[in-house]
Amino acid sequence: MSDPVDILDRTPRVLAIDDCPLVHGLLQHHLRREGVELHLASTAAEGLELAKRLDPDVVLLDIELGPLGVSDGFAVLSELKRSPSTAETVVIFLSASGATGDRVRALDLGAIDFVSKPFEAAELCARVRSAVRLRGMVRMLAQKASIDGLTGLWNRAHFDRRLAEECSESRRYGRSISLVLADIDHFKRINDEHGHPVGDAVIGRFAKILATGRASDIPCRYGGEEFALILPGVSASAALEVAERIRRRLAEERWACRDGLRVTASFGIADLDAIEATSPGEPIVASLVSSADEALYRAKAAGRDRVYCLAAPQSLRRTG
Amino acid sequence: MDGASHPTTIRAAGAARFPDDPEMAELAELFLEGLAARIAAIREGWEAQDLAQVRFGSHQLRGAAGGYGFPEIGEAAGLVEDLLRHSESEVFETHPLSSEDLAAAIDLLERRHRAVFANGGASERRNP
Repeated sequence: MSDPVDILDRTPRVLAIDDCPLVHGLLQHHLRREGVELHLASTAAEGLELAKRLDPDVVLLDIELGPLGVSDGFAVLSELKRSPSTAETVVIFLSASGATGDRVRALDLGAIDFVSKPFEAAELCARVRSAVRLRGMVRMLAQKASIDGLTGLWNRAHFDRRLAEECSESRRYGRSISLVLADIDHFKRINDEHGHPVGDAVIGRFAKILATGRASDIPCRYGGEEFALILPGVSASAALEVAERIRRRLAEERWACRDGLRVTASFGIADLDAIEATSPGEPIVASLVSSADEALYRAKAAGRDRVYCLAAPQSLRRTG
Repeated sequence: MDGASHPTTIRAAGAARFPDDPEMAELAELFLEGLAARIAAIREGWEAQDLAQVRFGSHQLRGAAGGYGFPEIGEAAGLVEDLLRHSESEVFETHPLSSEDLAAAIDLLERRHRAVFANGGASERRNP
C-alpha cells in the first residue's frame, strides 16, 4: 500500500518561482545546506505546472514575473490556493517591492510571509526552515485525520475521497479500477467468545494482510470489521486473484492469542468497466460501492469465506 | 578590455566582498562577470527609449546585487526602477520624470560599477 507516512519522511521540497537567474543562483547556494530539495521556475506557468506536479512544501514566489508591471505572483498564489492539490502549500513572497499594499495583498491572499530583496541569507534560510516545519505539521494533522487509529489503514473519509478521485482518473485515462469490500465472518462471535482484545488483534492482523499489496493499492478500514481495497489499474479478474490470496492468508493464519481460533472473511468485488456497461449514466462511485456490497452479500449468503465478483451482467463469479 | 571586465580584477573584487567565504566569493565573481553587460543593457535601453528594458534590468539588479555582496549596485538600480515606477503613477501627472533624473540615476549605477574595481573591490558607497 502507499504508506501514509511516506510523505512526512521525504526531503522537504522548495519551489522558487522567480524570473531572475541571479536570484536562482543565490537560492541554490544558500539553501543547499538546508537539506531541502530546491526546484526553480522562471515563469508563472512553469511554476504552477511544477507546483501541481511536485507538491512542494514551500513556494518562494516573486511578485513580478515576466513583463514588468504585471503582478503575476499574486495570480500564481490565487491559483495555488484555488487548486485542492496545492491549497495547503506554504507560500513566502520574495520580492524587491517595498510597498505596504503589496505585503498586505500577499498575506491576505494566503501567503504566510514576505521577505524583501535583497534578502539576508541567514534570515531567508530561517524563514524557509520555519515554513517547512509549519507545512510538516499541517501534513501530519491532515494525515492523522485520514488514518484509522486501530489499524493504521486509511479511514472511511479518505476512502470516500480517494475512490472518487481514482474513479475520475480511471475514466479520464480509460484504465481499469476495481473495488474489493471485505467483512470478517462472525466477528461478533469472536468478540463475544474471546473478548474485545482478541477482536482488536484480529482486525489488526487482517489490516496487515490487506496492506501487503502493491504501493498503488489503497487499503482502508470501511468501518467496524469491514474493509475496502481500492485497486487502481486492476481488472476484475486480477482483483479476484488479489482477494483470493488475502482470503487464503487469513484463513491459514495461526493465532497465538487463542489456540484453535480460525478467522475467515468474505469478499465482494466490482469493477468500473462492468458498472459502466450495466449502469450507464449512474453515479459511478456510488454504483461501484453498491455493486461490491451486493457481491459481498452474495458471498456471505453462499456460506462465507469466499470471494464473489460482479464483473459483468451475466457472469457472477465466485471462489472459495 | 577595460578594467571592469579584467578577470583578475573581478576575482579580487569578489574575494574582497567575501574574504572568509570562498564559495560566495566565486558567486560574486560570476555576478561581476555579467554585471557590465547588464548595466550596458540598461544604458542601451535608455538611449533607445525602451523603458521596459531599462526597468527589467534595474529591477533584477535591485533584487539580487545585494545578495552577491554589492548592495550599492542594488541601491543605484533601485533608484532607476523607482524613477520609472514613479513615471507610471498618478504623481507623474504633476511631477513628471525628467530625462535628467533618469540619466543621472543610470550614470550613478555606472559609477558605482566602476568604483567596485577602484579600490581593490572593497565596498564603497557614494551619495548620488
